[in-house]
Amino acid sequence: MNARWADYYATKKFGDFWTQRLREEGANVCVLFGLGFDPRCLAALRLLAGIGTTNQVSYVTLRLQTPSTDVQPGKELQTMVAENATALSTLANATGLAVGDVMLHDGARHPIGGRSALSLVGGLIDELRKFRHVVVDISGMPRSVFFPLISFLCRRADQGFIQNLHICVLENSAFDSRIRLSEFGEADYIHTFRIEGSKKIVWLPVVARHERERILKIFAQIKEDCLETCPILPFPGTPLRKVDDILVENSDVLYEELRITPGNLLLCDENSPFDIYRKIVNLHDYYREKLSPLVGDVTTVVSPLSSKVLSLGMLFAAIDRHLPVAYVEAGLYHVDGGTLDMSWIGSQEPLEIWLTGEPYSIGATADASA
Amino acid sequence: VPALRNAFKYRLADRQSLDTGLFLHLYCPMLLDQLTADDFTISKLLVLRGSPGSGKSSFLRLFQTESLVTLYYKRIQPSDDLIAEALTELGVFTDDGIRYIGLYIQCDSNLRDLANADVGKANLRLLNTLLDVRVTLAYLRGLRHLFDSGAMSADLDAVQWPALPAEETPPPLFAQARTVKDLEAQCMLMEAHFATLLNSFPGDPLPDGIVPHSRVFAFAYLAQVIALEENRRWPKPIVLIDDLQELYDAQRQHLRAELLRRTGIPRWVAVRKYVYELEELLPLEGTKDGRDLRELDLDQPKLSAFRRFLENVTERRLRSTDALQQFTTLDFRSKLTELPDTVPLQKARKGVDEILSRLAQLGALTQPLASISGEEISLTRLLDFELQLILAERKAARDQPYIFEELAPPEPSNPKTEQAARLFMCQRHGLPYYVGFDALGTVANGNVEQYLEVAGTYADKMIFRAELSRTTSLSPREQHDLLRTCATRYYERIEQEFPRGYTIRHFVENLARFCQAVTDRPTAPIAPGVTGFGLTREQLRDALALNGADDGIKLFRETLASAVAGNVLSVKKTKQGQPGAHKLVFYLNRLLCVHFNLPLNYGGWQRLPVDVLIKMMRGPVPAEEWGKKWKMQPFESDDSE
Repeated sequence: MNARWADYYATKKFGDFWTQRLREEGANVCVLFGLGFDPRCLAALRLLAGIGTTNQVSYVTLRLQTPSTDVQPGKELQTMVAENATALSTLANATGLAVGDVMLHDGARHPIGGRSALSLVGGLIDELRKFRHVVVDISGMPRSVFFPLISFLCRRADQGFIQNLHICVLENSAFDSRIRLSEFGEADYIHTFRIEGSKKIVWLPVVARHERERILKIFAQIKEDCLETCPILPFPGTPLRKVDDILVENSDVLYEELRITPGNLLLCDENSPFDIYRKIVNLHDYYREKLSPLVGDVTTVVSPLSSKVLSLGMLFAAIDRHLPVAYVEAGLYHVDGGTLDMSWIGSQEPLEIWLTGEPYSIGATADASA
Repeated sequence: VPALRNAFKYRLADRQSLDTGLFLHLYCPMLLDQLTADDFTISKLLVLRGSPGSGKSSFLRLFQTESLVTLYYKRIQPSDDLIAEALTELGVFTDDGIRYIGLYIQCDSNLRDLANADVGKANLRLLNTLLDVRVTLAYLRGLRHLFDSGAMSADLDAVQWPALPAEETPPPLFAQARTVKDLEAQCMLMEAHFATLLNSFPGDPLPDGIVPHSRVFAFAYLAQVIALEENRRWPKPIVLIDDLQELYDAQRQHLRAELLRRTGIPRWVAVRKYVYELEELLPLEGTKDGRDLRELDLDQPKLSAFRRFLENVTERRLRSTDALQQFTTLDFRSKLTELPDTVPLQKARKGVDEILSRLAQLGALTQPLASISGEEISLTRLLDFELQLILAERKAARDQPYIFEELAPPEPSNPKTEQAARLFMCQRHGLPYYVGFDALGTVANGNVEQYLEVAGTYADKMIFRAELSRTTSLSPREQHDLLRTCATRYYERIEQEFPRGYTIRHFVENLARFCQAVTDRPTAPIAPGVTGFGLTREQLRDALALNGADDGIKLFRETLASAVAGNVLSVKKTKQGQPGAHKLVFYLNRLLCVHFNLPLNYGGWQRLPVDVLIKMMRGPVPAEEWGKKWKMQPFESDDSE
């Protein structure tokens, strides 16, 4: 397979990995994270601050600004944001490099988080260049922010402005299920992942529970050009029967409203972004090869409506094959029951993905010398 | 279309015919009646306003080359005659061919996102450029379609079009004479550059070839082409701009100026019906309706026309549904059985006793209690009891009772009071209320998607029974319960589906409780019930005068606008009262009426102060805060349309 991340580096031993990295001479790291209501947003930074020294660990805070803070449950979430901000202010062993607001929606409630984040981080590239490692912690970031952000940093890394780019994410399906998304806007392409020109579409949405509305909104946007729909389901996942639950809950929308045949369902490992990445890339190449001669230009459109790990896989495929990403941004988040159980956060380590830099240049150097 | 298990649910079934055929046959002739030949021959701005689902996009698509070519070549078929005839009368079709073609431009997120692009202050000028490209390309593609279909013959690629005169300072695209082929290639290249621009990262250079235009030149350019190519009798373009509300305020204002500028080709703009002062999507105050400008309201087609449309949709869906293929719409209707003529007296006994005892208290009992006996009691009689009770309650509640009761005139009844009595009867005796095809058609709320969703659940049950070789009829109770289930699902989705969904749901909850309280009053003051609230334009203006001083107004504006845009509330203008004292009535979506046990009729509404409405959006509002008037409403309200 001719794919950028056919070989990759990922580990769940976040602490060990960074202990080793930061022991290297001159090593330093800058963490980019989104400060919002999600208590996981500080997890990676905390761990790194515990491993490195103040001179080694810096951070860029993207303060996520949401609408609807004037009424409940927005007010409640603001309290959680304030708690996270307080926790950040007491964090030792890390230096704040920059802080800026990222508006997730504009006054007309259209999503602008991606643009807003790029505008902030775009002005910091010279600063980031000084770090050996740049880490984007997506645990508390919405997809409309981290998709363009990682894509942008990846491009800058390719241009030599960033030495090593890492992604980390702390995920727990039980915890995530307590956070409900609502107030969906219209389906649209994520910033920097717009479809270019008029093309026929193969649509790959990764599906989770309670997603009927978003599936239908995206479908309405692309249906005129959509040739084929292949929903992606998490298997193996946690719990193992999750895939059955999703299928049962979405049977109406998948089988009756969109008339998907079981043969079109694609199963991807929920715990690794590279499984879904490889499958999307393969599928995209296959459809382009087979359909383009028949119907003209064909592209795969992906829609990340499930866990962050799977969404990451979609992002990698979108970066690699220049795929459009159709998405529906939520305008509001609810926490079921009002509080979140955070006891697990200290005991679980984030997934670390080394996206660009040293491990990949080894192969390239070897290839070049060969 | 292959047979499906339940075609009512399939989102792609009938897509083609729903978009261009079925819709056009049933709906458009009525909408076409609103057009005149002047709308084509005079290059005016035509503004089409309508609620979501009113058919704005489908109406515009009728004039796309693809639809016109289909209709033109199939016009010998009787089913197409209505449209073709109307189009011939309007001068779109002549013996020579198609005289006008629409250039469909959707205001999508690409156009909107240009406002956010990092291009200095050239954002609006880039909007002009992209519009120029899209309008020109749409015309070229339309011509190509006509040539490909054989409607025109010439070497299109080689035809050369002159530049715009230098004194107009045209942009490079129109500043030199170009062949059609070259122009098309240039436009496609620029379109690709725009895609690159919209996907660009901070610091990326502006793609070569994108030159901001100081205004929209495509209208003048195409007008010039048409004038110069008159001998070729090429079809005249009509610019069709859809979903204008999707653009930002500044973009709409800018585009408004461009559209109002006099030019040689007609411009038609479809825009969602706005909440007047709350949202100025395309304000036309200060412009003169007439030769240069005309507005059309697409919400005019009446309920009966929509019913016919639904019947046809039903017929097509039944034909595509495996187990129901043999059904016609008439069969489907007949499967939705009505309430029986009688109910067991034992079941109704408690309710009847309540009524009679209350009538006795009011001194209005006309028959002895003992006269009610037997196994069954007719619904007509139960209905009559309810009616008597409502009239007696009204009489008792009079402000100035007569000294001699026997001289008091009887309370008048009317069909609306009888409808209220029916609602009360069903609630009192636990009888199904939302029954029959008419109820199904009404809860569609003028939206075919909503209809399909509800009818799909009916079809599901029928299919299940047909597969088991059982009767496919649905009892009144089953229909009622199915509708209630759909209504609950709709209600529960509000929060997810719309911006400000959380506040909309709060608001709907409060408003519906208010409507229930007024509707369920024993006197049935606004029969058959209240399902909306009214605001005067002054109230809206006053509310906006507070803008900036109060966050509540922002909440009010956004919530109301989002609810109307999403069809949770539908707006109707009333002409009641003094001339010029129009009110805007906001009715609940009819599925919400089902969820909250309200009648399905339109017409009953109440005024509510803006501050109460804002409270209703923020959280639960107790009845004592609903305002002073609702408890003292006159019995025969003049507040209904």
